[in-house]
Amino acid sequence: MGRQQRSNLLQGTLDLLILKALALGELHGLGISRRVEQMTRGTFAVKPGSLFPALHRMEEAGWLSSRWGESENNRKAKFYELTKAGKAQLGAEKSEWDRISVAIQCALES
Amino acid sequence: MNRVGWLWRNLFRRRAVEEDLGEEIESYVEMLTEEKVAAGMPREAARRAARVELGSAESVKEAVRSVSAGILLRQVWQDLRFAARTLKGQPGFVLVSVITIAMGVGINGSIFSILNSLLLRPLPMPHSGELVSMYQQLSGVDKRAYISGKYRFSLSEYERYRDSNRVFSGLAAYHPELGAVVNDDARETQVQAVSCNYFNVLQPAMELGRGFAAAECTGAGAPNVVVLSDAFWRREFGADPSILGRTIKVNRVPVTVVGVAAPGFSGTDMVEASFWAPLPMMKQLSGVMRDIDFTSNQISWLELVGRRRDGVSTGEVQANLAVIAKAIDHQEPKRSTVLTTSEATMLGAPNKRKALMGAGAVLLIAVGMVLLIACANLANLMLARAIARSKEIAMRLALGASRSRVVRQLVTEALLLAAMGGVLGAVVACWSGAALFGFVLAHLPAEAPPIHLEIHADWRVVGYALGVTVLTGVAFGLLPALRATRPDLNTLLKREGAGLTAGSQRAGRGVLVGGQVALCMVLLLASGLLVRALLRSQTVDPGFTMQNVAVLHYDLGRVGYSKAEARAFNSSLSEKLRAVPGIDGVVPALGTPLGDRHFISVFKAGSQPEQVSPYLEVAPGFFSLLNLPILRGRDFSEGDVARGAKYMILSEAMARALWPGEDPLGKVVEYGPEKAKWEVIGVARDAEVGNLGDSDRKFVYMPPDRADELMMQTVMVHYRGDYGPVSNAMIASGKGIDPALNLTVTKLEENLGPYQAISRLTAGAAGILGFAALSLAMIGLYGTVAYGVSRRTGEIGLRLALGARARDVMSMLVRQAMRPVAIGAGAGVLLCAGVSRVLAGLLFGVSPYDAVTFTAVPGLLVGIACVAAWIPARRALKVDPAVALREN
Repeated sequence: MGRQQRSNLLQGTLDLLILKALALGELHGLGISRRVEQMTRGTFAVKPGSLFPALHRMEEAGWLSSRWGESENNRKAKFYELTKAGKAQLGAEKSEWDRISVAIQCALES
Repeated sequence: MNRVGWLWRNLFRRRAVEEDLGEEIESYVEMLTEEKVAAGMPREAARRAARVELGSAESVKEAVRSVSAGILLRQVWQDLRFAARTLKGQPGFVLVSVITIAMGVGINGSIFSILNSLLLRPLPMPHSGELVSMYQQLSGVDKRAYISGKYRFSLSEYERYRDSNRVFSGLAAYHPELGAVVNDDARETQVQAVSCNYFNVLQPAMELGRGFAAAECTGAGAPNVVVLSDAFWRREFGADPSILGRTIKVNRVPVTVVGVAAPGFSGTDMVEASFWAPLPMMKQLSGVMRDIDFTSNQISWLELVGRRRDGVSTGEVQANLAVIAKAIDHQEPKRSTVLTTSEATMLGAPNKRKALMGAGAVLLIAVGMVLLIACANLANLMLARAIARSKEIAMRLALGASRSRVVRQLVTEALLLAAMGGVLGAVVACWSGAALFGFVLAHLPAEAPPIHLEIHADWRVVGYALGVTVLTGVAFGLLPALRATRPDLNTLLKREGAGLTAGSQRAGRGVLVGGQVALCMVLLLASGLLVRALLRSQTVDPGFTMQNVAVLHYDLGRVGYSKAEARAFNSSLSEKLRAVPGIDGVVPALGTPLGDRHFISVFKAGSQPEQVSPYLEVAPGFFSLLNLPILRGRDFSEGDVARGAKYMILSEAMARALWPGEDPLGKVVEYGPEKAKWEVIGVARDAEVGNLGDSDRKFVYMPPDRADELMMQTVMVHYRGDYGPVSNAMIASGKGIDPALNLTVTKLEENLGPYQAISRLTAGAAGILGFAALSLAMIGLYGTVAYGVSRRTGEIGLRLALGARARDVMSMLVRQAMRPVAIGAGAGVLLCAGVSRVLAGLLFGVSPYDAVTFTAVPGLLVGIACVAAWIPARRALKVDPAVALREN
């Protein structure tokens, strides 16, 4: 519950993390979830209740594209991939995040 | 895929989207299971753990759905389907609501469709969006004369605008109000004098022939030509195809027919034209105005309509014309012109537009009020339903639906009802607009000119009906929805159902009832005032006797009489009339009291300010013929008239206005353009000679002007015995002198006709609306009380069981019910007193604060309200207390 609340709090962060997770190549839902965990060293675990709405929202926004394929253990799975617009979005969100984190850092150190 | 693609997919490929989503989540679970198995869990436990980790698959799906495109539309669709299902179970409620809304929207829409045809819709001509009407308002001009309407142009101004503008492909001028006699027909038909290019500018289709050629508009010596309207051609000439080139007589002048306009073209004015003639024919057409010099640059008589060039904006039109107006202004020292242009419609003149818009707005507001009262009833019904459904609503709120979501659902239901009513109402509006206009036309006074107007619905009417429908739906849906979803609804209901205290829920109904009563009061007071005006116009005493006076009308100027011939005709006519048995008084006059010809001039006494007053020229005997006493001084004598003496008789009010507190006899008044000095020889009692209901009774009587007997067009006679033979004898007297002259006889009392016709129309309309409002408001009150009482059966039973007397309980119930009524009634009276001045013009002398109306109507309304509250209250008291108590 605590994590969920935090991910609500950081609505924009979730998008950034998913985009970043997909930056290296296509992944299915569970894969994205695991990649985020791994990238954040376990701080963020994306639950399906927020993962799937985010994926669908981002797909409709044109940042992601999806296709049905086979998972590593031959299961049918839906894979997501960054589109051109998604890559641009990742860049934009990254620099926005940098700006904010620097600002917050400054605020905390002052 | 873009947004629209997703929207399309989500809305119309629902099943595929759902399957896809289901599979995706299923595969997630399976992969999670695989993961756990790989980590060493037994498969069964792994599957269970994966399920637990996912949580409810349905809620994940719902979360996805709620962010995907088209969610709002899907919810609306869901709401609509749900609403349709709910309403299907309540056909009675649906029927009542739909009929109420249909009537409200229908009547509103039909009135709007009439206003639309007059004020908003472009003229029915090719590319009518390019047609522009022009109006001017002059100031700083003192010698200007105006012929019906201050907004018109003189001939020279027209020519200036026509020749120097760079924005019109053509600018046409016309004068719409002319009557003419064709081929010695007894009836008069309507003509428009139009500029040569009229047909080129408007471009109506022609049935036969052509418009006017330049050579036909040069004035003196030019051939006299006309173009007929299709309706006139069919009516008078049996659609004769060989009409072109034929000569017909107009006011006894031969003219040649050069064209017939195609069906549907009846000119650029509400008054339907039978034919069109070039402007230079104005002399022959103008009848009584034949002595007016229409080429003078000081006479405003032309209406202008231009066709914009391609690609010229309305702003450019305005700017270019303003430059020309400036140039014209420079020719006169103090003159300044304000020019207005507007898209050409059937009713363009700003003064007429303003009057009609005012009347239309009042009517629309009145009808809107009835609709609002009906809405309040529906809101009441909705509220009752919402209370009955409170469990369902509470359940949905408890299950996590947001309040706004539930409100949206309830309003959707109202909107669905409104839409059903609105569609029906739009159909009613399309059909009833024309019917209503026909009804109004049929009840106009007989003398009114033929009015031609196509009433049909267009996008504006449909849009208006749609707007009214949506407003209606929100009006009766929103309040109940907000109340029913109040967070404390449940506790509130519990407390109220069982308790003895009056709940605040009743306050909501009280507001509805109070509002209804207030609106109803306004409408009833207005209709009360108008009915009083009607009664007054039926039984009016204008201050003189109208009975047994017959009036002979004719127009010598129109049929080419010279002034000398007119004088001879008039005197021999008077002689012949005096000899008719049964006639004991003959008075030639310029017009008749309360007649449709009005003469107004400026009178000045010494250094006093000028007085504007209506006047009439009347032969000796006028005052005794009408039993209008001369209080001081004397009547004109035949000798005065023969000498051309400059004598005047004033009404008391006029005398007071000119010389307050002084004796007017023998005093001198300046009158006319040459400021001639006229002596006052008498003062007549005040009477309503000019206009019925005018509080201003100023009037001036002068003897007939021997120099211009062409203007004398009426002879009043007093008769004894039957009207029939006398009127025949009067016509015969005229025909005896000029057999071809067109003469008519009316009773003087018929002059009240227009006033009565207007009163009948307005009082009728207001009466119907008032009655509808009263019925609806009383149904509302009855329903509210009945509902309130039914919810309080337990309380009433308890009171009775504890020994309260039935009478006391009854009076408590009625008192509580009447409180919002009393507040609403008071508000309504105040509201009406605040706005009743707008009706002043229709009241013919009844005060807008008429004491009789303002006491009788509230009394009546409150009385009826008492009954409406008493009936259901009485029924509740008949219930056995024991039964009532057990019910809770």
